[in-house]
Formats: sequence, structure tokens, C-alpha cells
Amino acid sequence: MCVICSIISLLVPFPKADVHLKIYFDEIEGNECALYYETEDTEGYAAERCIMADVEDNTYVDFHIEASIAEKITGIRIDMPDTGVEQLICIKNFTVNSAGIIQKKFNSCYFLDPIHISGQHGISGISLVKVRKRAYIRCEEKDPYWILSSDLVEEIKDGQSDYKLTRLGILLFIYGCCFSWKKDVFSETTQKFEGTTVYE
Amino acid sequence: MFFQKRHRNLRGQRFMNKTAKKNTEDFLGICYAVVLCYFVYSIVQNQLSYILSDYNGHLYVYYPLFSKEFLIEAWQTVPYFLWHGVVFILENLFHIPIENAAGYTSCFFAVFSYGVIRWVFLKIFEGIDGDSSNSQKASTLAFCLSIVQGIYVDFFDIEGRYLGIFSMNPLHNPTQMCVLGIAVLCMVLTYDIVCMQKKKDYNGIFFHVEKNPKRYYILLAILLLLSTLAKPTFAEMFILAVGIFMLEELCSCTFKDRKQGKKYFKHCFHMFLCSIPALMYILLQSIDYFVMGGSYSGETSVIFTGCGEVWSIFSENIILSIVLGMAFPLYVFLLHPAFFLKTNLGKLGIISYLVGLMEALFLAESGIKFTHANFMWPMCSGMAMMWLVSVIEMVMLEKQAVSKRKNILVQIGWFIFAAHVLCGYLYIKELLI
Repeated sequence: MCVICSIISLLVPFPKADVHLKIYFDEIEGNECALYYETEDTEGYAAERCIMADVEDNTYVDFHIEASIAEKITGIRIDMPDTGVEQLICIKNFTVNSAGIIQKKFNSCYFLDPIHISGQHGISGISLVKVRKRAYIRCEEKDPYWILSSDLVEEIKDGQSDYKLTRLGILLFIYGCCFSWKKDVFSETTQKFEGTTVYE
Repeated sequence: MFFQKRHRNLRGQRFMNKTAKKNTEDFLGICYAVVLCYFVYSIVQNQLSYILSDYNGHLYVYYPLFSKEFLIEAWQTVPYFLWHGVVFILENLFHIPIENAAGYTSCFFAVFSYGVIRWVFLKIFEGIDGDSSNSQKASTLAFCLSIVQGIYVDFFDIEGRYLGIFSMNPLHNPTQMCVLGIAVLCMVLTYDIVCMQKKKDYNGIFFHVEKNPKRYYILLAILLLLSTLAKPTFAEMFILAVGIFMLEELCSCTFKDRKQGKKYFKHCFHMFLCSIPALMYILLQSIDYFVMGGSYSGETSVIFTGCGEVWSIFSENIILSIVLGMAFPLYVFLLHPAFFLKTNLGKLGIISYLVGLMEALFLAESGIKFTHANFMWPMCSGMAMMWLVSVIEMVMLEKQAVSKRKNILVQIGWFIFAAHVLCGYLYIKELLI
């Protein structure tokens, strides 16, 4: 009965976790980046479907995509900071984090490979330095962005967790405790503290 | 005659060896205290330069209020003034610059906590082996417990080494570290009193509660009050935890025998009396904070939240955060759940943690203090109690590990403990950058 309940609790649909798309930079100027998204119900990258994120310590940017949106997402556009001057951005890597775990880590050369870009604007060139695993983007003064291919969006979506590992961990811990309680491996001897038994 | 002389010589030699060993062990204990002081002092001096750090806020924002003109305002802003009070004494009586005074104060409280934990382990070893000569191990365990942090791995997307996971040793916070030593004293004294109430022939492990119980009830009341002066979050958690513990005992006693139940109710009443001074002071602090607007403004109040609403600001996966922060105690629980569910010490530890956890999950302050996550502090104190009890249990399990299989299980436990200690060292390194 317990085993059946456990299996059901593992297989039953569970609310999915939010997704964090993080971009790590070696070099970047500007304070904010933006992520526009398309969903199954809505087409086009409009202002109401925009997620803004601050560039933290000039090293990374974290786009927090809510679970309900991440489930339906079909297209992603990433906007680099609008600084008003040309700049060369060096990207280290991209990670997809969900449920507190880094689910996927993308090499920047893979992420910015021409086959994974379905459109771009305000970007005059992308250089992929495969030996150093770095991608350099030459951004123009205004509105630099690129649109991810649908395959890459699907890969990002696959990184969304439904807490299956967490649920499995809780179940294993409960089973472990029950087993340990039954076996009582460590209760052969009673420890004594100044004439008083600790294990009553 | 010759044999007598030789025997005397041997005895003398043995005595000398024992004294030398004891001196070496004590020297190690002192070395640990010095290293701890070095860490804490460096952390304080380094953290003071960051405008948003806790040390900076307490020393440069709250502390200057401690003058004759603003004394009431100072109390209203920081009713838990033990740390500030010691800094005040060092600055005004000994004319030590405030930055150094802050460092020395934190060192004093860190060494006090370390000393208390070391004393607890010495008493435990005395209880297990019959002698307290194992001071080397006691010092090592106490030092490790003074720095342990949650396990932090880059692979996990947790906010940081502290935020998100939280820990029993928030070394970046002066007031929470100030309460740790007093908290441990409260815990072991409560344990002794509770055992004495249950068994007439009980001889105290940590205190001689059997000799003059009244004196120890008063001592507990004083310690609880002192803890609220250091930081009220420990008493907020611990009084409730002991209440739940005693209620459970009362129910089981009454169920077994009504007369026994009535007798135990008297003990519950005595314990309640002990908590009254601390409760009154907490009430006074609450009135000051939430009615008179002592800190920030009168707009904040305590509110119930959805499960983990505040915690989820810092962590994407609360279960994972709990596992990382409490891997060692959870492992000890897994090895021997009976200890935590059947014995007084185990029950006190786990109830303290659970009460702290519930406060962290369901309580918050409204308004601008919502994101300050101030109800995480009771959980940090609860974690400290659970950690202490778990290490004590591990020491006792080690004594039982006679077979190879048991020995492996115990060694895995110490490995996890060592991982926590290593993360503690790395956290200190991070605070020093």
C-alpha cells in the first residue's frame, strides 16, 4: 500500500517550478537586459511580455520566468543593454536553473551558433572563439537583440523542473527513517549518564 | 622496598604524563579559541566597510543612539542591546575605538559560545566514559560547531553560502552570534530540569539540579531573560518548544495515570513561571516595535504568510535548502530516529528546530520589513539546538559502533560533518574578501 502511494505521489502531476535563464558575461556595459517572449496564445514580442533584469556586478543577468509562462513559451528574444554607444560584449555561458538546481548549462558558442539564431537586430557581428568557449557580440548603438531558434527554446523549456527529484528525496528519507526505526541498529546498548539512562 | 620505590616512581611518571597530556589538550583548546578570535575579529573589521552589512548597521546606525540624550530612542530601536552594551562599556570605560571595541565584543561572545559548547561536550564525555580527560575532542567539536555552515555547491542555484540555506552560525550578524552561548546554556539546563522532573533519583549531567532545584529554576529564568536582551528570537522559539515538549509529556502522563498527570502539571507551571520574565520582555519589545513604532515605523506588524512565502524570496527550492543546511542532523536522524523521538535531549532538539522552522515558514513582518526575513532568526537558533543535539548523539553512536557496518555508518556521518565545517571555513573566507 505504501509503495503504491509512493509511486502515485511521484507520478502525479505536480506544479512546475519557475525557470531562471542566466547569462554570464566576461565584459558588458549597461545596467539592464530584457527578455521578450512569445507563448502559444500570443504572438509577437510586445512590451507586455517583457522580463527586465539588472546586470549584477557586471558579471551576470538573471531572467526570472514564472512557471505558468515557462510552460507555454514558444519564442524568446534577448535584448542587450541599450547604451547609446557601440560595444563588444563577451559571453561566458548560459544556464537554465529550476527548483534550485542548474538543470542545463550551455556553452556560449553553442547558444550563439548561427543555427540557433532565428533573427537579430542591432548586432553587427558574432564571433565564436571555440577554444576559449567564449562568444563576442558586437552591438550597435540602438536596440541590439537576437531571437532564439525554436529548437533552443524547446531545450530551455526541457530544463523546467517538476520537483520529481525533491519528491523522490523526501520519499527515500521517509523510507530510510522507517527502516532505521524498525532495524534499530544503534540501540543494542544503553548509554549511561551519571547513573541515569539516556535512552528511556 | 625496591618494588615500592619503583611503583612510586612509576606512579609519579604516570601522573606527570597525565598532567603533560592535560596541558597539551588545554593548549589545543586555547589555540582553537585564538583562531576563532582571529576569524571573528577579521570578519568584523572587514564587514564594517560594507554599508549594507549587519555589523555596519549595528555599529554606525544603532550604536550612536546609545547616549544620555537618546537612551529611550536607542532602547526603542534596539531593545536587544547586550552586544551594543558591551561595546559601550569598552568604548567609554576603556577608551577603545568603537571599531576595535566591536571586534573585541564579538570575539568575547564567540569565545563564550565556544567555551560553553566545549564544557557541554566535556560533561557528555564525563557521562559516557566516566572522566572528562577527552578535552581535545571536546575542543575540536566545539570549534567546528562554532563555524559550521550549510553545504554549498556551485551546482545548486542557491542564493549564496548563507542566504537561502541559512545556518546555525550567521557569523555576519553580531546579535545572533551573541545569543548562541546563552542559548546552549538554556538548552542543557532545561534538559537537566526536565529529566529531574521525570525521575526523582536523577543526578544532573550539566548542573547539580538535584541539590537545590529552586536555584536552577531561577537560573533558567535569568538565562532566558538574558537571551532576550541579546536577541529575543531564541526565546521566542525555545519557550514555545519547551511548552510543546511539556504538553506532550503532560498528555502522555495523564493518559497513563491521572495522579501522575496532576503532579506533572505542577512542573509545567514551574517552567511557565521561569519563562515569565522573558515573555514579559518580549511583550514589551513587541509593544515598542508594533505599537509605538520603535524600529523603522509603526506600520509593521507580525503577519501569517503562505507556506515559505518569505523564504522563497531567497530560495527556489526550500526542501533543498533545508537538506543543505541540515545534512548532518538529518543523517543522524536517519541513523537513529528513536533518539529524537524517545529521549528528552533528542526531543528538545527536534522540537526546537521544528518550531523555528514553522516560524520561518509561516510568519513574517509586514511592510518594508517583509523582505528582511526576521523570522528566519528563530529557525537559526532552532538549527543550533538541533546541531548540538545531533553531534552529542553522533558521539554516543560512535561509542556503540563496534561492528564494521556501524563504524562505516558513523564515519559517513563524520564525513558530512567535515563537509559542513569546510563550508564554514569557505564562508569565513568569503566574508573576509
